[in-house]
Amino acid sequence: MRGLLALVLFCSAAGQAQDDSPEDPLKRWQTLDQTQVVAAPEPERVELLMRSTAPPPHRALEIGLVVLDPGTGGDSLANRQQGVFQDVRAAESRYLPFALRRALVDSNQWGAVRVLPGSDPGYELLVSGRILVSNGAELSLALRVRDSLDDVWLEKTYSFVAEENAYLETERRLRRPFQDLYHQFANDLLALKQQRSDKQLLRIREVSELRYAADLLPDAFGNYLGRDETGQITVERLPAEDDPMVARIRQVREQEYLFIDTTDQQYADLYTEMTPVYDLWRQYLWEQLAYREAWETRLAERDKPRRGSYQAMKQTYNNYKWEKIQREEMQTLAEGFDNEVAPTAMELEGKVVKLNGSLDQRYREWRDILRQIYQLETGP
Amino acid sequence: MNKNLAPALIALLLSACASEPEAPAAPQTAMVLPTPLVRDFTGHWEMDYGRSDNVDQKLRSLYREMQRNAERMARGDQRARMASPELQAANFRQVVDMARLADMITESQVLEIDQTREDIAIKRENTFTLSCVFSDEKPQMVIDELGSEVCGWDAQQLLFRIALPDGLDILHRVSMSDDRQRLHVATRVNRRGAAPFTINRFYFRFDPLPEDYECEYTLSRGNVCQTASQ
Repeated sequence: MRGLLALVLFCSAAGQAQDDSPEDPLKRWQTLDQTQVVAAPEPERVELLMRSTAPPPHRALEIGLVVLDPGTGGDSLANRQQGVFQDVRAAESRYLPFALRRALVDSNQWGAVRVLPGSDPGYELLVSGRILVSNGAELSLALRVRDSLDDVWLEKTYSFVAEENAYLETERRLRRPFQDLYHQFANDLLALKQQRSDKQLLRIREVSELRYAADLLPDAFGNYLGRDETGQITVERLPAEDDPMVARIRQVREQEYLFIDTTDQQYADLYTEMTPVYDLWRQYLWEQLAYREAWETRLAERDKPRRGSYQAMKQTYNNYKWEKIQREEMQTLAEGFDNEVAPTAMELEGKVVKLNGSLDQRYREWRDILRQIYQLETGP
Repeated sequence: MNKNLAPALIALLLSACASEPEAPAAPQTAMVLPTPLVRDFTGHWEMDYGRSDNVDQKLRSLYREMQRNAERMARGDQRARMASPELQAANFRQVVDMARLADMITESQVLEIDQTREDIAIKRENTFTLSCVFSDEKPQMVIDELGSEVCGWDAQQLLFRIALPDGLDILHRVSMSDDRQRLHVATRVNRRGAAPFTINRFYFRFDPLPEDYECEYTLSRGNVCQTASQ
């Protein structure tokens, strides 16, 4: 019933196109109303605000999602004690950006959304972040979004707790675990875009292009940009629209995007292959936590035997024993997860490295060629 | 946290906790690590009942000793330890409790030990694995909500000390015969205010049958096995 209600609400939200243009205040209010209407009956459910048609090109910012910081640090003993498994986190750091990407793509509010193996400061919008908690019962991500002007749009910790039936297969078909988190993030980002005018978005795009150009040809484009006293990037001057160098730089960038899109496809494959195993992993974690909570409750309620008696000592020892056994069980599960996901992840890693290598190589060649052309055109 | 400060802080925390009645006491044995792999316990081990302690016999012997002591006291024999019969009975009850606990803790009949230069895992049948990392040349300490653990080498012996709430303290001392065919695990159970009880378990090495299958555990398919030749 709940799932049906969610589906109905989902469809009603999906059916109404959302225009994010700030020039139309009425539509903005409709957007806000949608959020309220959708969220009211099930406050814990966050429905994705979607458009039925693509946004106008000038508002279709491109988004790069950098692979997340796994948040494991270097202390493996501490990680183990907290139930954090490095290999699992490493896989999650690639999986979760793709889950966020899906929400952004499904919303149909943006231009191209790509998962990037590394940071690219010239991106129109760049999403980076860190996994704080991921234990099946709770997912907590610290996310940061900044634009090409180095203006931070969002810096926020998203924490969601899985519902009791989140891992039931019937529920999973309707809604991915922690879907609300991905939706909330996408909706927040949309709200921030709505606060910005067409002119502001256009400036983000221009600066993105100039940063890319300055990175490629610092001698030619380095002085087009500056920084104000707050550290934000300012445009000192703009190249002519018919500047042949600009056209060439756009071509190079398109080439680069082609490479990144191929990389992105590898992340998509990882996401598809990893999802069933990852769901199982999170389900086991969730069950372990639930069991532990129930066990601790029972422990607190139990009559304590006489201190120092055999029963008391046995209870003390068994508490420790079961804690250790449970941890070993988790370790086995983590190894099972790794045995299944690692080959795909390694394959991906290999492809990305190879891809980056050839991308770098091509990129350097292009830079050399462009520099030579530039020198020929401008003369000594 | 500064890595050098961490062990000192752990020790400080443990000693601070020790004054709390519910907190685990700090393991106090000083342990020094010798050259790694000075003793390699790797292998499969099965309990040798002939040589291992029999708890009932040990308790009967203690009981007889207590009875003799009571008789000496009744005769006014100077060799008798001065304790009232009630106190002796109470002490004996404590010893029985300790013995039962020690017996329960060491009931594993089979051990499987994997050891490298960096670490050791003693898998014990029907209970948790005793594991220790030797990499940083210091005793490894693990503090949990329900107890704390320290492990390391004491000359040729490997020690695991587990401090549990309520002053309960367990020390496993693992050693091996020179011919590497026998393993000895001496387990001492101690509790503040009570006499400790030590139980000796001996194991002999055995070679498990060669496995025809190689298995790999995966999350969605469980244990997946294939013939070793594949």
